[in-house]
Amino acid sequence: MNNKLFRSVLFFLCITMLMLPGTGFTQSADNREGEESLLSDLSINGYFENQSAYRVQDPNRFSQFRNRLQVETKGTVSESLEYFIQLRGFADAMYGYYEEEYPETVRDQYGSSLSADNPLDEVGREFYIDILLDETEIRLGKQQVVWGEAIGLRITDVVNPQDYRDFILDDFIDSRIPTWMVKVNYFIDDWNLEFLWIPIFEPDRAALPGSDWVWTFNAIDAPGTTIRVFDPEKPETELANSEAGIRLSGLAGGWNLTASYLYVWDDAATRHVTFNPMTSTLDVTQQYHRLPLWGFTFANAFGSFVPRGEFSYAQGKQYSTADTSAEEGLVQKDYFHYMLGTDYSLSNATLTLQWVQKIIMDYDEGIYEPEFQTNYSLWIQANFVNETLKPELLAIFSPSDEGWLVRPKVAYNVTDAVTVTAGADILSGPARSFFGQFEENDRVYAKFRYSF
Amino acid sequence: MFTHIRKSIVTLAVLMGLSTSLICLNAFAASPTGLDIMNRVDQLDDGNDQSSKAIYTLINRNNKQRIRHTVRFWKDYDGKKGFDSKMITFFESPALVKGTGFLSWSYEDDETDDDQWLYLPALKKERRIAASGKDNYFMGSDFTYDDMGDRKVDEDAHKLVKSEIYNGVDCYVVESTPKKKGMYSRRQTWVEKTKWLIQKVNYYDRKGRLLKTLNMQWQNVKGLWTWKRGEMRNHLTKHATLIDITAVRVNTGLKDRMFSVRTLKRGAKFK
Repeated sequence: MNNKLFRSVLFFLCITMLMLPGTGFTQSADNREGEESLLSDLSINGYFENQSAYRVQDPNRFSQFRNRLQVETKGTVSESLEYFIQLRGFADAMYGYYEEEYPETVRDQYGSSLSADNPLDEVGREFYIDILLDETEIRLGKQQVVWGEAIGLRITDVVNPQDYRDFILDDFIDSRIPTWMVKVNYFIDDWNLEFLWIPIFEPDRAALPGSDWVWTFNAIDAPGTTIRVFDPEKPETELANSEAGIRLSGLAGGWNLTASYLYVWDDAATRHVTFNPMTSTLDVTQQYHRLPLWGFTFANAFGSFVPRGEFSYAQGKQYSTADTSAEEGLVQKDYFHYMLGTDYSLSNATLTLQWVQKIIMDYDEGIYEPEFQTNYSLWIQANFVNETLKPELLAIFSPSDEGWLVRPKVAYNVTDAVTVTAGADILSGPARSFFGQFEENDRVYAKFRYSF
Repeated sequence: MFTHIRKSIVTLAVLMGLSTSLICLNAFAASPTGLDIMNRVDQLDDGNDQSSKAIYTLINRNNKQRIRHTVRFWKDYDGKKGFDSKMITFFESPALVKGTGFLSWSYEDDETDDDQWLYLPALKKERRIAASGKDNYFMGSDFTYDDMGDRKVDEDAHKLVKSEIYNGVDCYVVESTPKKKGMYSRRQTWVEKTKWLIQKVNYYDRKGRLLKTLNMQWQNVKGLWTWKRGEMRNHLTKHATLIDITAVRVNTGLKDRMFSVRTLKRGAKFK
């Protein structure tokens, strides 16, 4: 079925559900003690935000002047039916001001949500209904699912694809791409069994060629050949191509535990390389592959410490290799990705330390990615003046490729509605490292947010 | 004769014993120990469960105010499954903190740390937090988690210092010194003699300086005494927090599932 048609059907179904208050879902939801019913609790909230960034390396200039407006509303239709709608639009004046520096596609996709490929999809960020039964909750619609314990890195938090237009500098809540989904939660005492069905596959949104944050660290290097890169094609929207997941989460002996399994597609396209020696042409086609993923997390609190762990095991990821005997330049390997870390609480600050490692199993020497990729991260959040002044520092160091990222910032709540933030994003490392590829994009920024 | 003398001695002994007991009882009634008083305060009937709204008014040294509206649900477990009580709080406004939830499970065993979770809508995620943060201030207010009633009687040594009239109320003044090092070196509590209600608390920092003062007003709901207003003033920062408690409901039969991570993520409304 055509994706747009499928979305229209889902949209229609959601609207239909909203139009039918009290449609038989009349069991009481005990956790809603004392609730008011119908539309009496309709609420509209959101924010307007301006983020202006100044590039501190040559060429020194403003690199961002982004205005963002987010409006969300949620309400109760009946005792067991609720809805949530979140709309978000943006416009970044830099792509108009430096028009000559960016290709038209970049200006369109980065300049404004209205000039993007699918403005409705861009603006209609989340849209879902909740059906609340006694022990079961069903969420239908476009939504985000947040899994995992790691801060700033995604290990099991891969249900939604990610928008990399702003690299990994946007908050995950803003860079996760909400997808159409059916989510069913079944609760028994302190345990929760969650089922996901994602009928339409959405891949990561890579930064476009010609934009500031386009990835170059994994660029194909083949001197003397003509390289032709073809756009990736998404799998057809059909039942066999849908994604699904299951997760059990709960509390045992004071430990917060989750175990999960995702039968999903790899959100990043794999590059299949074929070389034609007659024409010295390298054809790069991009395809999506299945990537089943097992996950496990834990967390507990011991005095001032909150140890956390997150583990995933992915089966059969396609890796690019230099091995010329490998078909289309690819080998299939499992990988193990884990995080061990802890929070440490002080009276007005929290320190989070994380050790993250990704290991390619049964490693072949020709694989371009290293067998072990290790990251250390430190995140310090503090608050002063009755939580109106909040300095923060996130630092990630990757000894595997010697790249690092440091993000200091300080936020001040001028009033309950107005927050101003000043910060810097400093990236460094070799040109072929994940962070070092953007070494020249270091920036300072100021942010103004009005919440309503 | 001998029998008569023996009866007299027995009678005298019994009378002396009774007198001693009465003297002791009288002495207890006249001046209970600090521990007795704090136990009576702790044993005040809170009911089986409570729901209420709380308005936090945060006032800085320039008299600038920030106001937070919250709802709070609490349930007494009285040792059932090892729990002392469970509490869940949600912020309803302002938009900056709307939807933020805090869940706490407190255990009967004093040695067992509370289990605590925080839900931040900006992350769409609940997060386990350290229970040692009882000395931490609650959401920018001048109240620590301990100040709001988490502290157990056994955690301090208590001494009756004096009796005095405070705001027209006859009070015991009890000095409490923590057994383990905390943010306060001591506290002085003014306890109303007849109802065992706390009227005022002075908190002293580690250097012995008067750090904060709490003044409390009470309301009676269905025969149970609950906070009406708590006014905490920090003498060093000149910041103050008023908590006004309204719409108190007691013994409404709150279900266990109210105090779950499920509810923390979803939120709960107050009618």
